[in-house]
Amino acid sequence: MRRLSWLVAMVGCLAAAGCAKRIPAQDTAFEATQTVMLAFRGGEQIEGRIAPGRKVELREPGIIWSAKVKDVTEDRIVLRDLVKVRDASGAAMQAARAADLRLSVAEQFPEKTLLRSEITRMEQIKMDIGRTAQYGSFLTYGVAVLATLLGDRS
Amino acid sequence: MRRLARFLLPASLFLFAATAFSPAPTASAQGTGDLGPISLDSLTVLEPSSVYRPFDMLGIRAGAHGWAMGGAYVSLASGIEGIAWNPAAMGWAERPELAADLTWLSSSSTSSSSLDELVIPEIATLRITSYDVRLKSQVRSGILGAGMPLASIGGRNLAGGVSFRRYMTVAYPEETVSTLVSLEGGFPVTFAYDGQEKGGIDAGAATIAVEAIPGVLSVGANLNILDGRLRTRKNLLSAGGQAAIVGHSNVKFRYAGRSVDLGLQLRKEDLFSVGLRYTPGYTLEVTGGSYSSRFPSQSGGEEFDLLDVSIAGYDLDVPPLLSVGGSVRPLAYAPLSSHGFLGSLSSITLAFGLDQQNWSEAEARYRTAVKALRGPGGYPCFEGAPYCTEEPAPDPSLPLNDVTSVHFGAEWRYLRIGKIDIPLRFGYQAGALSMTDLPDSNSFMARKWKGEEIQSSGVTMGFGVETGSVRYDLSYEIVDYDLHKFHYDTPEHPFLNPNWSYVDVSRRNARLRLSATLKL
Repeated sequence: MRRLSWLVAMVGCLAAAGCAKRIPAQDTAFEATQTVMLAFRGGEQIEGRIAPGRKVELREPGIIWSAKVKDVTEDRIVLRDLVKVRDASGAAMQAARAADLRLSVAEQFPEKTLLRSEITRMEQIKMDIGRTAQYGSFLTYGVAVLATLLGDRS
Repeated sequence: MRRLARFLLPASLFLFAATAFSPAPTASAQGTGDLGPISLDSLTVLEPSSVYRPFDMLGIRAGAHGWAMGGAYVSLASGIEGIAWNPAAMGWAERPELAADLTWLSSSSTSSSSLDELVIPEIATLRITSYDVRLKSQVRSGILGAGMPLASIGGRNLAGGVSFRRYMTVAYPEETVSTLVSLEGGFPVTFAYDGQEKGGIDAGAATIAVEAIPGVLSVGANLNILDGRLRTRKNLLSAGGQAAIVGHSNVKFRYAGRSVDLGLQLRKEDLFSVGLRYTPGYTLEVTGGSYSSRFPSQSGGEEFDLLDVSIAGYDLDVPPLLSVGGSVRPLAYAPLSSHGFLGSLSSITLAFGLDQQNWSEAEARYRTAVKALRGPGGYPCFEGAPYCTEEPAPDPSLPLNDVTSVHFGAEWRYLRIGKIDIPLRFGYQAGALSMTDLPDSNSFMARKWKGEEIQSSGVTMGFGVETGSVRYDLSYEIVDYDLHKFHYDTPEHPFLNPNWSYVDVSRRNARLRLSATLKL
């Protein structure tokens, strides 16, 4: 049981330490299995797996949206269920929400269509194994030190 | 059956005798009565090892980098990992940092006893075939901390951090293992005191430091809220076939206080550095003390003598601590090749340090008036018991000694595997422990607790593993010293220690320390 709890703690630390690295792609072609960041001419950026039903993050200047991919064709990407998660006045928005809980949690917009011909840059997002190992090993050790500290005081 | 009987004979003889003459209060045969809060003097007589122990603020400083260099680190400490050595270290932090540190302590010792036999009057004589008092292995926490640059004020870096770290060691778990055999024959029996201890004095600290002259001078301070406890349990064990706990005693204390560490570091482009750390004196409140024991009754049978008393709380004025040190890179500007072995010589750093804390000036005062009830032999006794006299207890006098220690260290950055730097480190340290040795028996009887100072010396070594974001430092320290112990930790006992006999102990402590620092 003790070994199991240590294993769980270690896996948890590794998960928490997950670090991503971005690799610029030569072209703008992507596959449904890849996690990518697409930058568009209008300043928008999408991050995530671009496949129908997948959740992605859409960044526009000053606003961050959460959305789902509705459809991906050869010439366009259609997003649905857009939910504004943050904007330039994020603190003010959160304060307003806290002040009146009857406000809706977020504004919703039905759809947004982005043209693939507008893609200017693509980056593949991959797990940085070296960095994750470094962070994971540190966090695992930190948990061990914390356990010793608490155990000594219990 | 015959084999069993041959074992049981010496074992039962020994246990009967040991418990029959256990160092319980003189009038405790019935185990009832009011001792009141006992004084520290009474505790010293009851269980000397619970008082003869170090109050150590120096050996506990977290950071394997520093200990691999023999503790000569007050001028070199940098970042959150270094605040236990010098709070000014935080001033150099350029990125957010996290630090964690643990120590594994192990020990070996050789003991030579002047007592060859234990004579149980009119029952038997047991020959001591082996006797050893050693420090028990322990894992000790060091630091868990986080720090980051907070602001830049006119190009000067202002950094802060929070940490939780072990501030002072008070735990000193020992085990006494002896093997005895009856002169009348039989199998040997092992008789042991097994000390189990937890706790220490921890500091929840806020650190603030500023790079007063960018790249040259940093000053900083730790504000420490001290809290801690010590819980000891000493089991009396017999073993010969199957181990059995025959009795035990417990001591508990709580500690609280506040302290400030001040620090300064002066550097010149990694060519040399000077560091100073000063902790002004502060008051440590020692409360919640209790002593309890449960040993088989000398009346025999299944009965036990139970003792459960509180220990008078006291305030301890901890003396100021001063650490100074410096480092130099003697070959930094030598005309050497910039690569390879010769080039690496320019990276050699030599460091030294000096620590001073005059523990002999530590004054203690009882928090409330304490009366001392003493029976024959000086043991605490119950009020109204025969030969029990009452005296006003003087303020406690702890057997503490001035600590002056010197530290030397070197670091050489030669090894590099891929993108990983592996600096090698070596060091030497020498100095006195904060606790004194036991005094001679006449002084002990006269309640003059302070004995000779205990000098220690040791070598250290270690290395670092420096990757992009995470740095691991490992140190291994070997420290030797000699001290004396009472036989079975009992100053006077008709059977276990009839002649105030001492045991000469040569102890070697080994500490393996691992520190990890993450720069975000």
